[in-house]
Amino acid sequence: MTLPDLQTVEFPISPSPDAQPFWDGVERGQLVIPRCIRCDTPFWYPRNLCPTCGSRDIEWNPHHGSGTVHAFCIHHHTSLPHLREFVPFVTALVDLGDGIRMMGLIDIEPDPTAARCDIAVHATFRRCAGFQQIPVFVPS
Amino acid sequence: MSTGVAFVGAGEADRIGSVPDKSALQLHAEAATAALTNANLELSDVDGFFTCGLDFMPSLLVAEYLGLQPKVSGSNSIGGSSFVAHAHEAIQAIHSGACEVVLITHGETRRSNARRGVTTRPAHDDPWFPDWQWERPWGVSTPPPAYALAATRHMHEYGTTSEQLAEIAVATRAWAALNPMAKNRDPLTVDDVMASPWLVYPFHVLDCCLVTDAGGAVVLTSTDRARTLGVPVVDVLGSGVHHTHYGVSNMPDLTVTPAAVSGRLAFEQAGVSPDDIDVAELYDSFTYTVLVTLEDLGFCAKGAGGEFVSGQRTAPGGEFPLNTSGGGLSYTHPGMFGMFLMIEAVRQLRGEAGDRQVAGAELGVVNGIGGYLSSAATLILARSES
Repeated sequence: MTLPDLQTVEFPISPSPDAQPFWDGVERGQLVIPRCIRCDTPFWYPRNLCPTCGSRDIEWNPHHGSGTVHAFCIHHHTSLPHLREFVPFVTALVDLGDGIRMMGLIDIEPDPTAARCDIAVHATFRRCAGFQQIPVFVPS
Repeated sequence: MSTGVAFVGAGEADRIGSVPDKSALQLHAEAATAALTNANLELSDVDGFFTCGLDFMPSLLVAEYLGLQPKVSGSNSIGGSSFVAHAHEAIQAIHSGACEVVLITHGETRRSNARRGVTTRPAHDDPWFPDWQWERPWGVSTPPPAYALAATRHMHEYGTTSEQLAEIAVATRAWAALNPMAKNRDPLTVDDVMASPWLVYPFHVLDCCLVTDAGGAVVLTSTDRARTLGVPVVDVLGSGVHHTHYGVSNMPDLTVTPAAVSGRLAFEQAGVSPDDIDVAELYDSFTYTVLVTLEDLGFCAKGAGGEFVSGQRTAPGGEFPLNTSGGGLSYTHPGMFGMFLMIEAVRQLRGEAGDRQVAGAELGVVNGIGGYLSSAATLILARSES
């Protein structure tokens, strides 16, 4: 995939109330991850209770943004209008440590078929139309 | 050991495949009457009813169309495995005495809906829900990429190959060639599958199920009542249902489906082991779905699914009869396939499967997988000894 100019692409994202701190972090150029204060467990995706213990005492911690590709797929077709011009492109599940597994686009230039499991990636932040910044993972 | 509940009828709509001239409700009704006739029962005998897939209130909509006011009803909606889960619930309802004769129906016009510009399923468009928030922006809003993510991890960990996945499509097509109701019946080779265009890597187009119009129905009752009907009886020996997640991002282990739990529950209740099974009907939304389910049900070790299906072992005449209808890959797949797994298992165990009949089939397994490898429902079925 090459994602040369996302500024022309309108990503269909409307930050949910329980995820606003995450999107605020992305706008600052940083991943932030929710953590349960009671059982000291980070979790993903953001929600207003801990999926491990049910506590509603949650804090947000900065994350370094580095991880590994746990799994990937390469889209040769997509029904999603905002991504149609980018086929073939790669979606990955990225392991960020502490049990956090986040889905994201990975930008592998010049050949998306070079995507592999277990390669190291890190988050970058790119501006797009109709929304602020979005995270995009790239090989480290 | 029997649960005390049995399948006594199964049937499809009059025509399936591409049926642009009929509504989904007509397909429900055609299949319902076919299954009840097959059971020597009437609509007036039905006091339990399950369905899903249409509308926000599926059981109300379809029961009204069929003229039913059942004592027990349900619309558990966990993806393509739903109808197998309905059977699990029907077994409990009949066993408890809450009802005696359960009809389960499915009908969708998924192939023709697009042509008419209609949708019949409930679907949310709230961007604050997690799938829209965390998966759809990055390209995953349908099953193919979600299952593809799981498949690449399996390939990475266990060396599973595209050729091994293709073996499943080829064997399934060979079964479809024996089924007059199957949509795609022309012979297929591993090379054909490998040469078909990529949909989403690692899936070629021919690794993916059909999208059809179809209706199906099954009837269950107590084994006591079943033996009075004058039809071949298929006993339920065990059943299990389990789910672990909604979106594929939250799948606890990408290479293990909830069939590992539903299968264990069903086999334990039945008191039989995978070695005892004569015929297997396992949801084939994708070739990979079959491969991983074979492992999770215990037919082979984790990671050995590719080897298990190699050399056309699951084709007609092979050692392991699998998806004998031609499956979702080649027979039919109206957006969900669980119903059609049960129909084929009942036919095989009643000895009514025509050219594709597995000789001496006495014990069968059905496994539905729904959502994004999210849910599983397993049945262990036996030809009745009566």
